[in-house]
Amino acid sequence: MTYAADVGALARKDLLLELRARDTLPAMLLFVVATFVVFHFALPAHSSQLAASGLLWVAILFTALLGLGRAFVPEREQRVLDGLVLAPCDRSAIWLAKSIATLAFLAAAELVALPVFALFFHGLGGATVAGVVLADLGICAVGTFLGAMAVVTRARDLLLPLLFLPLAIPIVVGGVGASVAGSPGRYLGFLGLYDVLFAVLCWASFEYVVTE
Amino acid sequence: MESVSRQYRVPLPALAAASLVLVTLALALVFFVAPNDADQGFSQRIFYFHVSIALTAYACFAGGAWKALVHLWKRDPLADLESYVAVHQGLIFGTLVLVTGSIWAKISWGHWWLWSEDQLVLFLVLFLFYAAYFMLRFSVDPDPHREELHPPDRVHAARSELRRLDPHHLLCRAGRAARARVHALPR
Repeated sequence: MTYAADVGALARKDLLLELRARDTLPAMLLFVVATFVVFHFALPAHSSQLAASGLLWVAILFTALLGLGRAFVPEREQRVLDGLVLAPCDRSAIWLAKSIATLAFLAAAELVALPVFALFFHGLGGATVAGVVLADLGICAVGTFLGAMAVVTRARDLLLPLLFLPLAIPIVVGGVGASVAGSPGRYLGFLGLYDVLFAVLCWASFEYVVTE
Repeated sequence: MESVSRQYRVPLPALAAASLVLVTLALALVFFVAPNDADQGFSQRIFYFHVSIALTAYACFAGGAWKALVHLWKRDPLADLESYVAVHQGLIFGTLVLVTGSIWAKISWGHWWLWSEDQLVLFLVLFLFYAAYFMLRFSVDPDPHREELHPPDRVHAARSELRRLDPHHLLCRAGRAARARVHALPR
């Protein structure tokens, strides 16, 4: 099989699993909407729109974390990862397929979350939406990589946020900048650069993560 | 693990003694020889500690990254150990950098921490990331588990698992068990 076929088959497996079990996506949706409601009460009345824009990014990050934490659970519980590592395919295909599946879940959650945010707080600009799209790519690339790393440890659920949040700081910087700055081009470029850099890095070094 | 026991030529007691002499000399120079700073006065002397500690922390992190790369590249267990030790030292020095930097900032700027300083924020992010690395390191069980995850062993384990499930193998086993039971019957 070619590389693309491997990736397609693996991503299809994750999407099918979610379609049948519906473990992750409903939880992400409920979580992000509940977070917005909590934020509404956490923000003082008449606080600025800028504060709400910042909170949107916090909500996205934590929702993504929820999905990423679940990403390798089937692999762990059914020992699928052993089989995948033994399979005669490039190991980076596992990362790419898992990133694509996680990206699909996150995008689906945001398709609901962004209109809800616009409804609860204030409208959304095109720059914010572009920022969210670019940030999603980075979140899924880095998060999947770290998720695979955390899943072999004892404190797996505890470890993923600890590893992910420091690496997600540039995403928040770029995303919030794109949401609130007058000229968001620079911040979107920064997000794009982050995506490319970390995607290449994770793609190239994933082999070592599943080996050890 | 033979390579782990590789010895360096400079013995540890000599290094410790040299450090003791040099640090004492540095302390004497800092407190008795260097004059008070014209601008900041006595508080400037913390820089003699802060900057050198910061440079050490950066050197440790860089060394740790380099040794980790060597470990991935050549699979040298000694490189892994050296990388871990360097990051451990870097984390200790990193904590000291944050503490000494905060003390100086409080005296000089009137705040313990300023978010507007890029260098401070960058160092904090770096520090947090290495702290997470530390957690990761301690959360992966040492040798038995790691060796279990080693690919050749895993191939072997999968092969024996497959052999156990092989129908022919199962039939042979069932046949042997049946024969044994027949033999055990009273004649």
